This record gives sequence, structure tokens and C-alpha cells, in this order.
Amino acid sequence: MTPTPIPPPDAVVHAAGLDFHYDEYHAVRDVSLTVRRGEIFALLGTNGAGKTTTLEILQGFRERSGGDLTVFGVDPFRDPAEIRARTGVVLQEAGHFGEISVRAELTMWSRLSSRTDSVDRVLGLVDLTHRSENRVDSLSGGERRRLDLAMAIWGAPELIVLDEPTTGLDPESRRTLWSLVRDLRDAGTTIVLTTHYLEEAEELADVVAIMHQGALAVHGTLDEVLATRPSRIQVDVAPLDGDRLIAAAPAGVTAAWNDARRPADAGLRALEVVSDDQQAALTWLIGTAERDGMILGPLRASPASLDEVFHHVRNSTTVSATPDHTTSEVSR
Amino acid sequence: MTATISTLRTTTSAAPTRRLSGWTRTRRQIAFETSMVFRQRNTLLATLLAPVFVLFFPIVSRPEDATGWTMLMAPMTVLVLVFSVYINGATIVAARRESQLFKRLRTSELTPTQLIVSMMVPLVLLGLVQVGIVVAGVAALGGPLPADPALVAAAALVTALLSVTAGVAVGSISPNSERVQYSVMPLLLLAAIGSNLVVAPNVDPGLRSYLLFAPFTGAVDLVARAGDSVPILADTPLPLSPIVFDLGITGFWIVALGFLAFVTWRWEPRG
Repeated sequence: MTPTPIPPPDAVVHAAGLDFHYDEYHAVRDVSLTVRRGEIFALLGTNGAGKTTTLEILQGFRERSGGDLTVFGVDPFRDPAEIRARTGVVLQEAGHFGEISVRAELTMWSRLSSRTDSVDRVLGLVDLTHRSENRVDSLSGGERRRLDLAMAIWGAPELIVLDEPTTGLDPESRRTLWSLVRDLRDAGTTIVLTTHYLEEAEELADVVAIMHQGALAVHGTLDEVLATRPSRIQVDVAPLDGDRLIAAAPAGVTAAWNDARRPADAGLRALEVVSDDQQAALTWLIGTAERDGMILGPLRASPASLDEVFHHVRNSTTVSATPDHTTSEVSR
Repeated sequence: MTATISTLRTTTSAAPTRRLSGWTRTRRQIAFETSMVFRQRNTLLATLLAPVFVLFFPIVSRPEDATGWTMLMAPMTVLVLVFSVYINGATIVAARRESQLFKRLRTSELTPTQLIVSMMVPLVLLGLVQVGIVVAGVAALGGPLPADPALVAAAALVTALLSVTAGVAVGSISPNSERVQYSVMPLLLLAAIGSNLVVAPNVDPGLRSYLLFAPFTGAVDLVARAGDSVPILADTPLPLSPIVFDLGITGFWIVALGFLAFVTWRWEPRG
């Protein structure tokens, strides 16, 4: 998934070695990524990881300090008009003209856009038809978020940037927004999404990138990202058999008791087998059990979760405490 | 949310677009912003009543001749525009930055210049209406009409431009909308004092010349020179004709405050 110096033909966003400094603070460091047409790209990271700054650079709101960047084949800072005409944006926070109606605000927005659409259709998509004549400042937080989305999807832009779009939404609204995002993707729209909700990224993303302290720590398809952490096999075994398995674990496989989990059968104990190669670990485990006459209880094999990958990135990255993180080292 | 894939597919694949010129976009936003001004009825009423209150000065002081009228009304003509455009402009800039409305509008297809122009034009138009009310009021009260209306128009234009740049600059540096009332004060006091002193009798001629360097006093001098019977006016401190000097010094302030607005502009709320 490492971006090539030349953007692939279906690249909507292509960044290579992107850098950004706020005075002394190195906010974005050597970020390289490609977002392809029609995919949902989730940009994750801790608070202050550089996600929003990266999105602002992609939209041409900030001039990068270094590196190469094209969006729709043009430099977004040099040609923002081209980007705005083809992009819809939901910012993390943005104000509204509170004293006018929902319809009036969307109409104002429509009159500035080079994309055409119908106010009724867009309000229907975000389920705000019933509130169309109400003042914007009478909307709830979740309804305002839907109005944000209505402005972003106005005229079906080719690229939609969603900066934490579901913050403040109740679980049901979040799920319906996910459905809308998937429908947009299926209709050919490219979507760049940041979120704090990892399950949102797992639910939606085709490609995931995790930023930490300004740099991209992990980047790839969801499967590729999950494969960066070892998979786990949970199995219930007799204590003596488990001790033998722990002692006999081959290189690349770690077996250990997991007493946080209590087996249903009181005579058994929970064992956890961790390996980068789930297939090899399963073959070893079952082969050893069969050969030595062990009886295995319930067994569950699962890949790493995005949550595990995220926490690993956050915990294993060490950065020196200089204001400018130029001497930082990322250890994975 | 009740989106269906079929609805989205139909519209996304069609994605009709139109070409909008920058002027069309700006004109549409000016119309919208003007409608927003008219929605705030109290502000609108106060703004239109301000020049009416200004006319109480000549009603009370009853100027005896054209010179008296000029000394009284030249500063008022400029200051009514300053109050309207400068103070309202600074307030709107700070409030919209604080409410993150600028962030929203920045994601639209308006350029930053178009955004600011469309926000300020309604204020300028309102200010010019105020100037019109003052001039008409003076005539109604028996005062002299300007002998050179072009000079008054030029003064109104440069005052409006200077008020816009000053409003944007001060609104930019003001920490939040509540502090704007204090942030606007230094320039407002300078304008009020300078504008009145520059045409006041019994002011030292040397001081009067230096007062012309202050913002807005050049515009007051222009309005004063538009009359038939001008009061004692300042000698220009540079070897230039008074009108050229007045326009030049006001132009300098427009550029200086415009530069300040440019370097201090923030799209997001100040820390």
C-alpha cells in the first residue's frame, strides 16, 4: 500500500512525504498515502495525532511545509477552486446561520455551489424534511450534524471529507449515517473519514491509516492493518496438557494461560496462543493435541482487532520530548 | 436517515454541474447577507435612526452660516459611516470567527475575498444610506448642500473602504466577540477626536496639519472642502494638493489596515 511517486490512474488523493510545521511543532511528518476513487479511507489516530491538520492540507486550507500532494491531480493549495467544486466537507466543528430555517440555509449553500441538486431530495436523504422550516438554532446536536452532512453531499460531489462525522450522534443515527456513507461509496463517491470510533472504521473502511504523533504508523487495507498484529487462538485445556503446550510452543508461537477468561468446564483452564501465522499455530496446536492424546475444549481463532492495532501503535511509539519532534523514533 | 442506494446512484452518477462566475457567486451571497441584515430588525432600526439622531446637533446648535454647518456636519457625515461599517464589521468578523461560521463558509466555493466582500457590502450600502439621510437632513434643516458632491462621494467611498479594512483588522485581532466593544475603541476615539479637531476653530495650525495624518481625518477634510464656504482648514503637511493628500493618506491607512487584517486573519476561534 506504499504510494508510488507517480499517482495511480484512479488516485483521487496522492500524498508523498507530506510535512507540516506549526512554528516549531512538527504536526505532520512524512505522510504518504493514496486514496483511490470509490473507496472509503479511514484516517485514525490519537488526539493531536495530526489527522485534522492532514485533512486541512488535503482540502487546501493549509499550505504543506514539504512533500508532494495532489487531489484530483492538482495541488489543492494552489488550485482550491477545483477542489471545492468537487468536494463536500463535514468539519469536526463549524457554525451555521442559526436564525434562518434549515431550508433557507441549504438554499443559500446551493446558490454558491457549482453542483446542482434538490433541497427536498438532500433534506430527505439526511432525514431532515420534517425540520426544514425550523430555525437552524432550534436543531439538536445530531440534527445539526445531519445538516452538516446535507451540505457536504449537496450535488453528489466526487470526494467527501468527513472529519469525525458521527460525534454527537445517537447509536441509531450513527448506524443510519454509516448506511448512507456506504451507499455513497457504492455510488462511486470517494470518502475520506476520520473518526475516534474504531468500530466505525472497521464497519466502513476499505483502507485504514493510523496516525500517531504526526506520522503514519500503519497504513493498508483493513485486513492488512489487522495482520500487523498477531492473531489469537483461545482454547480450553486440562491444566497439565496446557503446561505441556506452553513448554512445547515452537518459534513464532506463544502460548500462555489466560486466567481472565473462565472456562465453562471447571476442570479446564483457558489457554491463549498468539502467533503472526494463525494457520501454522492452529496446525501445531491440533497436531500436538492429536499426537499426545490431549483433549481440546472449545476453540476460537480470531485475527487481531483494530482496537489492538490502535493501542499497539499508541503504546509502542516513543517520541523524544523535544518541541520539534525531529529526533523522534518510531519503534514498532 | 432514509437514503436508498438507488436514489444515490441515480443522482451521483448524474452529478449535474453548472458554471458559476465569481461575480455571480459574490452577488448571490451579497443578496443573502443583505437579507440577514434586514432580518435583524433592531440592529437595522438602530442603524437607520443613528443619522436621525446626528441631526439633533444642528437642531440644537443652530449653525449661523455655511462655515458653521460644515464644521458641524463634516465630522458627523464621516463618523456615521465609521460607526456603521467599522463597528458592525469588527463585530461580525469576531462573532463569525467565534461561532465557526467562517470555517463553514470556507468549505463553500466562495474565495476568502468573495466571502469578506459579500459580508461587508451590505454594511457599506447601509452606511451610504446613512450618509444620504444626513445630507438630506441637513438640506431639510436649511443647511447648505455640498458645492462639490463628487468630493463628498469620494470621501464616503474612501471612508467606507477604510472602515471595512479597519473592521476586518480589529475584528481579526479581537480575542472574541465580547471584547470587540473594547477592541474598536482606540481607533474609534482617534477617529472621533481627530475628525472634530481637524475642522474645529481655535486649533493650532501645526496640530491641525498633523491631525491630517490620523485615519478618517483626511475624509473629513474632503467633506469640509466640498462646501461653498469652507472653514479654516489644515495646511497639508506635504507639498501636495489638499485633495490628493487627503485621498493619499486615507489610501495609506486602507493599505496599512488591510495588511494588518491580512496578517492577523484567523478562520478559527482564538485560543
